[in-house]
This record gives sequence, C-alpha cells and structure tokens, in this order.
Amino acid sequence: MNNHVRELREAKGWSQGDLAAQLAVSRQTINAIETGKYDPSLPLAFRIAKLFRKTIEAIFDPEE
Amino acid sequence: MWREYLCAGTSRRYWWQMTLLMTLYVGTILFAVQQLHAPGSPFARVAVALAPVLPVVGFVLLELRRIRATDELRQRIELEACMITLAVGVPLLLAFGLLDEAGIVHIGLFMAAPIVLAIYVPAQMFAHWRYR
Repeated sequence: MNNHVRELREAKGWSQGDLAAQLAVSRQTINAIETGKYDPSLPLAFRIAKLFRKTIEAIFDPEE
Repeated sequence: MWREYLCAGTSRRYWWQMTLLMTLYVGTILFAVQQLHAPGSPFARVAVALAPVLPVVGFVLLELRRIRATDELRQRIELEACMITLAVGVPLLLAFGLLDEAGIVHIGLFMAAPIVLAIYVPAQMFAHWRYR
C-alpha cells in the first residue's frame, strides 16, 4: 500500500522518532510504514490520520 | 538498531526478573543433575527432575508479558518468528525422532527445547531484518 506518511512527517519537520513518540509506537514501525514494508492496523491508521488532520484515504492509497 | 530490537518492551523490572529466572534455572539444573541418581521416593525424584521446568514456565510468561507491551509491528515480528520456528522445528524434530526410532542417531527428548530456541533466535533476527 502506498502512503504519504513520509511527506507529511517531513512537512511538519518531525523526525521518525518524533512521530513514533506521538503515536506510541517504535521508530522501526514508522520506518516500515514509510518504506511500504508494513501496513498499519486500522486503529494506528486512524491515529496517524488524526495526528495529521487528514482522512485515512488521503494518506493511504491501496495499490492496484 | 539491535539495541532497539533487543530492548523492545523491556524495563529494569524485566531484566531483574529475567536474571532471577536464569539464576533459578541454572541452580535447579545443577541440583537436578547432581541428584539424578540419588536414592529417594519416586515423588521426590520426579519433583527434583522437573524442577528446572518451573523457571522455564516463568520465562515464557515473562516473554508473553514483554511481547504484549510492544507495538503492533514488533508483535508481528514475533508472530513471524514463531511461524518460522514452527515451519523449521516440526520437520526437524520429526526427522530426529524418525532417525532415533531407526537407531541411526540418538538425541535425548530434553534437547527439543534448546533446538527450538536455537531456531527461534535466528528466526526473530530474520523477521526483524525484514522490517528494518
């Protein structure tokens, strides 16, 4: 699944560690999401969307 | 990176409890080996022989608590490590069992736990590496 987490995080000037701390996950989780190696659970996707004040669909695009 | 991996979900309390369990395990193993052929009632002999199992059960419960305290990716890594261990361990132990039955090799049943652990640790490292 493609996502815009890296762009949104960088636009805020946050490091992966900063974002991880705000979402109560590990830095490895943020890195895996950003590189597309891991798709977050629905609760975590909601937390990410809420943090960036966007909808889930605006952040995550299912691949064709 | 490995420090982050090894310390995920741990606390000072965890390491203190782990040290206590490891000490108990080594102590009970040494005691059980020393008393293995000592005379005594069957109940006492069974209790001494099985004493090392108790710290191992404690270790498993401690690990379960640690894993539950980690985030969802780490839990997935642990799940994948368990699946790899199962996929490798079951055929391997079955092969050892069949070779033992055929009289080709002899591996004591007590070696099953160290073999499973020997598979689980690299499986964990592999699963962690996939999401690095």
